[in-house]
Amino acid sequence: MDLTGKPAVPFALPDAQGKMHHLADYKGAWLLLVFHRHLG
Amino acid sequence: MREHEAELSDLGLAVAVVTFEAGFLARRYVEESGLVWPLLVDEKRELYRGYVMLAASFWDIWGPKTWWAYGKAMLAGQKLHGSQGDISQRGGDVLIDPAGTVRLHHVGEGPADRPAVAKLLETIRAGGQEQIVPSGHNQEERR
Repeated sequence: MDLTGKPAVPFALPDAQGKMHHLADYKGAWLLLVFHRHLG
Repeated sequence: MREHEAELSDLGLAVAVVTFEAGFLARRYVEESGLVWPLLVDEKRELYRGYVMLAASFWDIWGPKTWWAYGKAMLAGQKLHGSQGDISQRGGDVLIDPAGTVRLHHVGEGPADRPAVAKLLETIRAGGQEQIVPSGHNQEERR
């Protein structure tokens, strides 16, 4: 399923240091989400 | 992608890396890799599922493309480690424009399957030009 052209999926996630990040924080800028397979 | 960090930044691109591995593993990865972007921890994998990044098949994980990618990485001097995590989880890339619309959605078939940075740059540049043109007006009408 290709989601190109669809609204971005909202998120509220902590980073590795515990700081929260929301999709709304990035509004007005291009955002690239790079999904890791695993950290090995 | 890190070689293009300055160019990506000049285009106004923010980058966030997403992992499903929490706690010590995530903190160690940031320390060891020197990651300059935030590492978001999606422990429940809700965002992964939201972007249809599900479990990979055996062939995707252990097929020839994987061995080719690992061989190239080793020739480039990278150290490869055995994984302690779930190796079946798919990765991928999602490019979101300033209005919150997905402009590129790529679900990786294996570790070697990532979109070229050139394609990301091209998409951003094309999107930027598109935003300058007022809605309902094409290039001919503007002359």
